[in-house]
Amino acid sequence: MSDRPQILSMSSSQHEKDRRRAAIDWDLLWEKFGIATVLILVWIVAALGTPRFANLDNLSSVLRQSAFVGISAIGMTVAIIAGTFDLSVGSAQALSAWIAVLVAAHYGVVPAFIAAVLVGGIVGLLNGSLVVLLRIPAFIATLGTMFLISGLTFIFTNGQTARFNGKDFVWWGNGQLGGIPVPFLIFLLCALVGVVILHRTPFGRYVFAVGSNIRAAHVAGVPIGRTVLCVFLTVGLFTGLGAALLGSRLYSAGPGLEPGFELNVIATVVLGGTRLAGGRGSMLGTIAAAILFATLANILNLNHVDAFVQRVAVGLVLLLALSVEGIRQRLFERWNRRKPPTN
Amino acid sequence: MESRGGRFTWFRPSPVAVTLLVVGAVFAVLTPTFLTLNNLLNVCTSASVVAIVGLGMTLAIASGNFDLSVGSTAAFAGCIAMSVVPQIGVLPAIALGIATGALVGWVNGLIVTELRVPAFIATLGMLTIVRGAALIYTRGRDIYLFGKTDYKILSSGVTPALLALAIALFFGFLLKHTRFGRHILATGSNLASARRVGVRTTYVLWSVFAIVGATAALSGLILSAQVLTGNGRLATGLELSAIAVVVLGGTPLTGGQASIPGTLFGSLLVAVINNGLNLLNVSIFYQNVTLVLLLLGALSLTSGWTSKFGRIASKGSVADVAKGGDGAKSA
Amino acid sequence: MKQPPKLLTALLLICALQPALSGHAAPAKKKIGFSVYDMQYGFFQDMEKGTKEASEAAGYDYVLVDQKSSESTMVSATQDLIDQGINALIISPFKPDALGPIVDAAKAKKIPVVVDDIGGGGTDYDVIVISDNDKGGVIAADQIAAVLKERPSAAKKVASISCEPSAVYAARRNAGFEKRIKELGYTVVASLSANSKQEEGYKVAKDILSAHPDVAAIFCGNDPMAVGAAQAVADSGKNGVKDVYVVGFNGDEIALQAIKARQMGATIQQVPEEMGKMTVQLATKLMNSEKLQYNNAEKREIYVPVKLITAADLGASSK
Repeated sequence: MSDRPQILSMSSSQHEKDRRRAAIDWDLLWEKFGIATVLILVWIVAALGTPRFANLDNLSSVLRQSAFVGISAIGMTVAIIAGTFDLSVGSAQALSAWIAVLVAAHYGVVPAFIAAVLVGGIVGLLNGSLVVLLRIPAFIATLGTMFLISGLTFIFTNGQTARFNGKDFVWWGNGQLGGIPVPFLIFLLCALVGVVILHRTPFGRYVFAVGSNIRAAHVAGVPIGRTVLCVFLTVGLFTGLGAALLGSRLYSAGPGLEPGFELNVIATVVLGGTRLAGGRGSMLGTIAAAILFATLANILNLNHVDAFVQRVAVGLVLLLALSVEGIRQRLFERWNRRKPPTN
Repeated sequence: MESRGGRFTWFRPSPVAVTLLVVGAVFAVLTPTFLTLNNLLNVCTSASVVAIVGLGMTLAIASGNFDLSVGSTAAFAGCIAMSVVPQIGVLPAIALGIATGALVGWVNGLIVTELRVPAFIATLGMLTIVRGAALIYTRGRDIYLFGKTDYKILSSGVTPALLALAIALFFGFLLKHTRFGRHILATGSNLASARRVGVRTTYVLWSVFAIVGATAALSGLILSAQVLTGNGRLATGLELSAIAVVVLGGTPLTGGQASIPGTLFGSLLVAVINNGLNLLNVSIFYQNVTLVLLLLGALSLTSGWTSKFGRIASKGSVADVAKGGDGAKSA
Repeated sequence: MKQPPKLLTALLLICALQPALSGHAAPAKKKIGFSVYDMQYGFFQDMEKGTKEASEAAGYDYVLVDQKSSESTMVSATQDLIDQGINALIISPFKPDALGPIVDAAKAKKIPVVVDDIGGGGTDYDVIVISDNDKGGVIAADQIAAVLKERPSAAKKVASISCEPSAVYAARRNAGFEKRIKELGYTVVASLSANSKQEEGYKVAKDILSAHPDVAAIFCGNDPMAVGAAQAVADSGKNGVKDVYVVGFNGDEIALQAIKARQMGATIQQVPEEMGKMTVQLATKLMNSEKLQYNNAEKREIYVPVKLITAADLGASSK
């Protein structure tokens, strides 16, 4: 057993040698473009096989639906690259969306969006403070925040949902510009902002550094505390924006809005190719993954798949997509083991 | 909680235990019912349900993973067991239920070790798959066993508490005195190093997931025994409760250490808080908030395990950081 | 970022092919779309059964989507229905407040909207078939009072266990119950939520029995919780009919069995299957542009009575 090192992590030396030997770095390619490719394939197959999928209304609906999880996933991508995550985005979304609807009804659209983003940001800062200042591990801190904010939302709202159907407000979640749903356009814009943040700002570099090797980052002078705080703030801000759009889409918002949202967001980011271990990630992957999930739900509905079977299908797709990488690695190793060892 | 990587702590006065005593004392003062034998038994029973799956989760976390599918596994096992009680009797049904849980766990292990999918995602996917399977198996209906009161042996009296204690003792022994237990801790501590010294991590992880599945199944069986019903909706959210009690108990999420008594105290703490708030007729709106505040209060008392950010952020010099060793492992 | 152009090209390609791909002749059969709250619950399974059977009997195509207890899914899945060219929409909404975008989208395509129970969210639906949750709570209160009157030694204490807090329409059951029972001179010693879950109903009932050993009756907002509570009563050495009178809501199979087995006192039965059939009849009328008869014309409501079911009723009827 000892002369056949089984590789579980990508950083072992044998694997590195393989990578250098290969002309094309399949890992990197898959990570960056894998899901986008899968998405395109799925769309083509669906368009050919499923009636009404390629209908313009339907495609528009799919893109629209992908934006709500997607916008929050942009923020979450930053968090996961930094090596952490945020379980409270679901509750933050409910509170922000409720505030957005309430403010929109009394003060107008712009104040509503600002308020929602602010609320999201405040929750983000709360999370950041718990993690950085009180040094509580992110899992616990954000789990606690999740329950706390959820409870507070119930108390503030007295369990009631707020409703508002003002045309100016609901246009944002339901309208289109040139045939493309507005939320999706905002989603793309957010992704662009996310890419700029990650690749063109010092903050972005710090995020990658903290995620790859926190001790090295510290030694190199990266302001860890500030960076992590801003990471959580980022998650909160994006979540707040997405929440305002969701409130607009639903003409309403209240406590208990979308339980399980946080797991969907994290799954989207990971499906998109960003590793939970941190240090690397793909914003493009996140976009593609968000669209892929929405597409999947849509295809299942269009094909009249039984409701219970749908649950199994979604889980299977998630597992399959993430197994591809592992299977490919194992095949690669097996193929390479057959070759005479070259050192 | 100081440690030398891979150690398992026994009798150390932990913050959870202290919080438990304090909260218990407060409730005892606020309502006379709290300290009655009947009530304490109820508390122990509901604590045991979470404790059993929590103990399995402790092993998973100690090995560097976690399992988000335990709620679905509990439901699925409950459905399978309830559906065969009329045919094969109570004890065989219970055995079958536990075997089902172990099987689900085995599949989790397969996905994590052989397909190399991160545990978070693997078990997240299984969460929906197994829940769907339970619903498909029961066709969304309830399986009820009115009158089959012999199935209730699982949930009546002190049985759940005894089961939880037995499992706790067994797991404690496993972690401290067997090679397998040490391998679990080593795997959680540093996977690559463990492999290098010859630990068969694949086998270890696979077994751990199977164990988690089995404990989840047992919790599910107890829950369905309480209500003599099997259905696909059982135990939604059990996974978060399980992870919460493990973490409360002091087992760090980074792996390599385990606190079995901590998990027990954590389960008791959550059960006590729930029970006390119910006895005091506190509205559901305030229950969640109170629970969280109490838990965060308990957490802030602990200093043994802190997030790697916190530790790094508070360190002044390079030397301190270097002395800190592998980040999360030392106090 | 070379990928977006590819994505865009694919999109354009698909749009160009769209006429060829989704071309269809005018459908001979009419299509009914049913969007249901959550197929995990017996209540909605019965509703779906009634709706499906009636649709097929009337010769329609029938499509179902499951909202899976999520308002976001409610909107997106129902949108999927609307995009499939249905002729009428029947919806049992998880969150009536979020019906706005659905009704607007349906109206834009001239699709009539029939709401089946839960609530209409103040929107422009064509008709809503609704069982009166508030009244159901009142009936439960009256029944409990009637039963307890026969037990002079019973304390005038009752408990109320409600569904998950976000189910605001189901909350009316407990609200109606508590208001009425207080009018009748009883004290509500505990009002707690068991999150609509059976095993939590068990746990909460156990705690209530600990705190108030002399509680005489428990009303639960749904049947799963009621059956759980009845089990808790049994495990405390008492009986769910003779000692602590347990009443549920829905009329689920599991409750009817418990009532027959004398483990539970009563339930408030809704008739989801009937309501399903009714909605299809209403949809037919709307598709034929007929006028409808309402119970409450202003709110376009049609009431479906809820019925009290006790062991006596079950002995007589064959279900």
